[in-house]
Amino acid sequence: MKKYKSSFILIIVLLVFWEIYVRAGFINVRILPPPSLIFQALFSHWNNLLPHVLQTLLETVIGFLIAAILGFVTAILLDISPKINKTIYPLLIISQTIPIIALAPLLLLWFGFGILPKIIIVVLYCYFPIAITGAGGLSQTKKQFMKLLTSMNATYWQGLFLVRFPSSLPSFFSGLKIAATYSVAGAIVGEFVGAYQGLGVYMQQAANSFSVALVFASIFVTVLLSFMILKAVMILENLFTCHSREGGNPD
Amino acid sequence: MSAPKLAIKNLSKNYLLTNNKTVTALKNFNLSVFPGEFVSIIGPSGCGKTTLFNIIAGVEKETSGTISLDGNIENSRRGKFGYMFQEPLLLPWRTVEQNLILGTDIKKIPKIIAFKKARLLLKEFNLEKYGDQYPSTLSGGMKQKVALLRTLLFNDSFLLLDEPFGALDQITRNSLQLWLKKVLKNFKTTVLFITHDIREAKLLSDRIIKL
Repeated sequence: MKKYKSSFILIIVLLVFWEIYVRAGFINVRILPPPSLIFQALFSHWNNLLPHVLQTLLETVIGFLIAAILGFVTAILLDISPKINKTIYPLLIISQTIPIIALAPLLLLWFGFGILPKIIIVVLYCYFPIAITGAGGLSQTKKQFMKLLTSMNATYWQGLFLVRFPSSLPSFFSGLKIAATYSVAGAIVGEFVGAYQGLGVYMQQAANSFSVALVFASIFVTVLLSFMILKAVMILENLFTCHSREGGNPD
Repeated sequence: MSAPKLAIKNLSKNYLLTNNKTVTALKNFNLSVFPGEFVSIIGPSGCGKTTLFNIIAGVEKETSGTISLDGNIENSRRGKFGYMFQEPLLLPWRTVEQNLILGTDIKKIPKIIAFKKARLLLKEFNLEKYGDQYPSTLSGGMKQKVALLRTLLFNDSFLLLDEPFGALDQITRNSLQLWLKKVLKNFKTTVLFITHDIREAKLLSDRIIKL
């Protein structure tokens, strides 16, 4: 917590500046409500907001987990043979040039207004960074480790699970962290296009009724959700990679 | 004299460069190592010492020549030698004990037996207090000791030690040389040892070969 002290102070300063700027009348409160009004709106509408938050959270978590599994499997596929890598890798890169937001209406047409199209959009947002950083991590295993495994007559899968996957965990987690920051935004994009419930729906309803404070309150919750997922990934990362970092060597 | 444990005949290794030129790392190399013998190989940098070990251990393929183990020509030699590299190559996410059983994990020896063997080995050399520690907390010398014990646990009949003390300071190096002598006394191990240090080779070896 100590290392984020300066960032925390900066946020407080910006919020205070924002509050004073709006209260001083430099801008209309209806256009840009001050932070105090946003928090007030958030607390007073929390009961209405909660089901939407839970819906978005559900879509995000399911989508993120599926993306993590698919990303992991893709990373291994890319690693297994150079032929598969040469075939799949360019397709993966090209797939990223397709704007996901343009796919959202199609997904809605194909799968309806339920949870599935949102989950697919979250998967599309999160899958790529996980697969690419994972494959990169696996390919960057120290050559000497590979020689050691070869000298011990390890099979591909033994090498993968005993040495290469654990050594690539920092890369995997980099991808997971990037994906975690995209994940909630992905779900909201899906909800914008068409949904019955979710933060995207709530934001649109708030904007349609000119309740800017509630739009900001939803944005604040979105940030909070993204941060929570990111933090969960960071806790897992710390748990799984704490010993991989070089500690204090007595030399 | 008994039959050689390892017999290398006319071993050559050429590397093809990107400009289609070939570089010869080893040319018609011959060597016989007898059971329980400690043979040191000395030679200048780039003379092919590590290439020789890589070929013996099956990490690299020879261009020509034969390698026999216990009288039989062995074409697939992987897993038949305990190969220790210049770097300790300990897995940072595994404790000392878990690192020791890496080779036995690969050999699919049940964990309970592997851990028992690892603990016995650590106890035998007064290192049991390090069993639960992670490599990042160990000194360079201690890492080399753990790497050597891991190599022994994987295969204690034939060791290939590639400059295991090369990166250590002189004091640690001296103490590890004595430690290695003590360790090998307990095993009937045949050892091929690469070093730049003639004094080290004299101290440890039954025979010294210049490559």
